[in-house]
Amino acid sequence: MTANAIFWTMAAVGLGTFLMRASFISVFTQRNMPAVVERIMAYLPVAILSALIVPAFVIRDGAAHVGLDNYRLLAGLLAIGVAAKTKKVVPTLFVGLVCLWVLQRFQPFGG
Amino acid sequence: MTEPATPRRLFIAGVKATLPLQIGVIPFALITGTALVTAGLPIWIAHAFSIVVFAGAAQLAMVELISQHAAVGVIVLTALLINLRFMMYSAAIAPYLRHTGNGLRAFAAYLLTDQAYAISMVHYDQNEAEPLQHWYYFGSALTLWTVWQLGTSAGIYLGATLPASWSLDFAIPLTFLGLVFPLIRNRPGILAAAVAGVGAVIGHGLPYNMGFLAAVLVGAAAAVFAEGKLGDEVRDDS
Repeated sequence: MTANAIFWTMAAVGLGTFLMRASFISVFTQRNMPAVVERIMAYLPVAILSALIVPAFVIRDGAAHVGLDNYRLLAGLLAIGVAAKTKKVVPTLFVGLVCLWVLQRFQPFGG
Repeated sequence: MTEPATPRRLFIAGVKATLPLQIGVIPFALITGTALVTAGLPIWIAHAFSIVVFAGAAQLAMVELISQHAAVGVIVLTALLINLRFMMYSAAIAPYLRHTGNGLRAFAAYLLTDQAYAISMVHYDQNEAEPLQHWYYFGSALTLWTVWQLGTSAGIYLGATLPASWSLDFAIPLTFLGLVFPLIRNRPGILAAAVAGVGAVIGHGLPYNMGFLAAVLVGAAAAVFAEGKLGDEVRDDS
């Protein structure tokens, strides 16, 4: 993407986000959110984050690659364990990155 | 509150209640700032992201999708879906901002974040929606905004000096991993994560990254459908 295209993408997201933040504060000031919409919305963050995480671990060079020589997958699996146990960003990030660095440095299962 | 509530007291109380959270916000801001520049964004656009979008998970998701050359529509839609939760917060916080003018309300809306919402709702749970109560919200929300801008700025300058061989792009999915587990509160949540994650891999080759969006929507729909069937539909919103 060109810097120009990124700028306008960002501007669109910024405007849309502001309108959602302002929705009930500034516009529908006397109304409440429908319960059914709230139920669906409640799962979107989990679904979106997972849909970004799993491909980042599994996809290599444009295709799913499951094997010991996929170091991002190995580091990611270890990080999943840390995240499940600690539920914290910093330890997850630290363990995942260090594991990836070590694997990339020593290439125990080939490149 | 035993002392009479003044704008100044309420504002400072909001700042104080929000400060401890910054231990978590600062690293997240550093990571986000670093990710913006290591993905190749010009420095001025990286700063503009933090000011204009002002939402960490959406900023990181956008960077990840930009680096995957996703279509503009997919990037915008994804970021807006992540930020849909702000409508929920907006609805919850609105009664406490009714006594302010349109300008201040719009400013309050711009400042709305997970943390400002959470901290303020704890306070409003114990206090009536009186005319001055919005100052507590502003104390909390402005603290968050300031720390976010300083933290991402530090990350932007740090990121510009780090070598590509450090694979710091991997920090984005790892950060999401740390964020996603606290959000999974019940079994339908696990289902949403599994369906969306596996679905995104299966649909990876589809044009414009549409497989990603399809996986997200199927995952969320599956979770709502499974609510009740899996026996624990009550969400813990605390």
